[in-house]
Amino acid sequence: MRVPLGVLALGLAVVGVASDHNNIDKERPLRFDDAYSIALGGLEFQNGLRYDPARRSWFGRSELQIGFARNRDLSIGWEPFSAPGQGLRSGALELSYFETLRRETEGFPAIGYRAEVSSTGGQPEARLRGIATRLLSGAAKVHLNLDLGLNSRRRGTFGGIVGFSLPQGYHTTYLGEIGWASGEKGGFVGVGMRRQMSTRGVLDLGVEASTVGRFRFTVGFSLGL
Amino acid sequence: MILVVTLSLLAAPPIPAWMSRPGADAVSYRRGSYNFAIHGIPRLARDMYGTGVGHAVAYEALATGRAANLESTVYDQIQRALKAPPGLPIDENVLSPVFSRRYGSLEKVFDWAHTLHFQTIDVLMHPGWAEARRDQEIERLWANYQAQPFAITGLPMNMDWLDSMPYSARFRTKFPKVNGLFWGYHWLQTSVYDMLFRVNSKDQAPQYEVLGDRYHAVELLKTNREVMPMTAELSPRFSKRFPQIANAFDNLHMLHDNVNDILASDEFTPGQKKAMIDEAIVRVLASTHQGETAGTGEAQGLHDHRHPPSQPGMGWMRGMEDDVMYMSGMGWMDMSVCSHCSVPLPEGPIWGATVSADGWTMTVRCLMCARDMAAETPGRAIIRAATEDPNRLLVLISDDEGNLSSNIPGVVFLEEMGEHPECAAWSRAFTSRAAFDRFVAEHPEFKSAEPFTLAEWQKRNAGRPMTYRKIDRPSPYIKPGGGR
Repeated sequence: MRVPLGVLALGLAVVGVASDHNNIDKERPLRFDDAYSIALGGLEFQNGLRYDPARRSWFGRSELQIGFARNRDLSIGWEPFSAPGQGLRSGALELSYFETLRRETEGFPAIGYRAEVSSTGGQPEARLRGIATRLLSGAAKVHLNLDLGLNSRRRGTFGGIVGFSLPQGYHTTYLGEIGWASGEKGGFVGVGMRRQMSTRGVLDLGVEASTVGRFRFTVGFSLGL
Repeated sequence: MILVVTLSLLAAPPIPAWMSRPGADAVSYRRGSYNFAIHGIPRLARDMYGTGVGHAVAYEALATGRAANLESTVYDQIQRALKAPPGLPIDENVLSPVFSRRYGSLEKVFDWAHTLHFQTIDVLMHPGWAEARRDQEIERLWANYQAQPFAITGLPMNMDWLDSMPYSARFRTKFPKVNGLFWGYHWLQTSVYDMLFRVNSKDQAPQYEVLGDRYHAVELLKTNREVMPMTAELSPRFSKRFPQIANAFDNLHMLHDNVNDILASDEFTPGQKKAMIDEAIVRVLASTHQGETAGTGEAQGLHDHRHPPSQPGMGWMRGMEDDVMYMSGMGWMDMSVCSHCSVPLPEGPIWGATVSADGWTMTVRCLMCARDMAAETPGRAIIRAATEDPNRLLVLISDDEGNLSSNIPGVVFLEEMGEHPECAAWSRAFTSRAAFDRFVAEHPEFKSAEPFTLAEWQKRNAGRPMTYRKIDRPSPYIKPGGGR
């Protein structure tokens, strides 16, 4: 479905929430999550653009997260894209439930999971991600993500990511990841950063390279409402 | 010592269920147009964020076995951070990751109380709201705060008893410089409320020039304060209006002291420290005191909720007798009387003025007492005083030579000397000459009174009133041998 560019621009212009550079969600800017939901009563609006130079395609992403209960959030996401000859297309719609099962203690990592359903052009997909977050040294953390999915052809998918986060100074977190996904013919590595720009806003930047030589560049901004 | 601690743990109130739950339990701040209004005074915002850095860096050092460096390299690190504090809110978990994961329940209590701290400041700084609307929103913030299980009680608590645990005073004895920093942060966090309360937004920033300078130059460096700063000592007017919030902040700051003392005690195992910190949390939780009321309770115990009769926003202090208490830097003071003339303060909402100088804030009956008390005190001072307009507070700020500047350009003073017990009637401030004339017309007893301009009025000095009575007693915090 074609969508007017103005609708996307309106989505990106919504202002509002306290977002934290050290709370990491998928696609902001890399693929991995940390094990923590947003706060109870929190409302966060995340937006981003990703460019895939091999396909000369732009992918937008807007997501509204709602901390509806203690240690739980729901999010509604939308991924419009633009490719040569196709114009701007509506892309995937996504509904996601995230739960932190436990915070990190000295003997145990933080554990969370994300359950997600999405639909692209009426083709449904489902994914389940298990997440463990553990402090390494100083404030550096490792984030293990394990993915199981069912794609639109009813075939199982799986993958895994090891993510790293390293806060520097008061307002910046550097990120790295190495991962593999069954549907992508190989693995990928990525680096990125999240920077607190204001009391409510976080800018993120990321670049990812796959083992088959493809790149993707990501820029995003998250706002607390 | 171990036996005493074990027995005290056995006698402690039960640990509430939420403290055993594994969730992170983060709670967002209440949404409102006022959030982050603290940035209206950027220096205040940075200093407040700096207090978070200071707390977190010291706690992480204690949690990671660097206590031996606390008074040297860690202190220097904190001082550097306080001189160049962050311009945006910080995530304290980033600065104290080991402490945060070890003492998760404590982090929840601290974070939620700090949210209340910041949001109440934001409401008081939000421009354009009427005072009634601010009060209403602060009441809502309080209700929102109390709705979470990790809320601290708003009842006054016996500070002397809370500070008499087997481990009490360890931190201030072993680490006086870093303890000075902690009490300096708490001085700042409690001083700002009267700086903001009932004061127009534009009149708030100039006061912070005085308080901010004092915070950095003196309060952070003090190592001889006998007891932690109390909210009602530094913000008496706010504490009287919102006693539950003042009490919660004092209880929070005492919890900080307890935690510091526990962490500074080498004889305890990590497991014992964790258990004692949990016990210290439970002592101040709202849930522990459910159904209890201010002004009642057992003396010298967990449920002692007595407060000075004239100040419901303060718990019981060492040596206190009704309204008479020992204040660090001031000595023994009676809170029910004017700090300058010792004449009883009027009952009810009518008030004269407060004087903030030399790190304290005192309530006085009239403008004359305020002026003369400020003049007697070395350094800069802030006088906040009522005028005939309940919506316009007079703010006078003195420079180092004692010259006063006013937030109301045309301020006019009445000072028609009479009997001192009546001073609140004959020593007053008016927002204009017209207001002065109206008052004189309505009060013929002042028909010959001269309207003084600020320049004329500030040259006057009536000296120390004959009615003044100094309470001459030794500090209750100094033992007869000289130790604390």
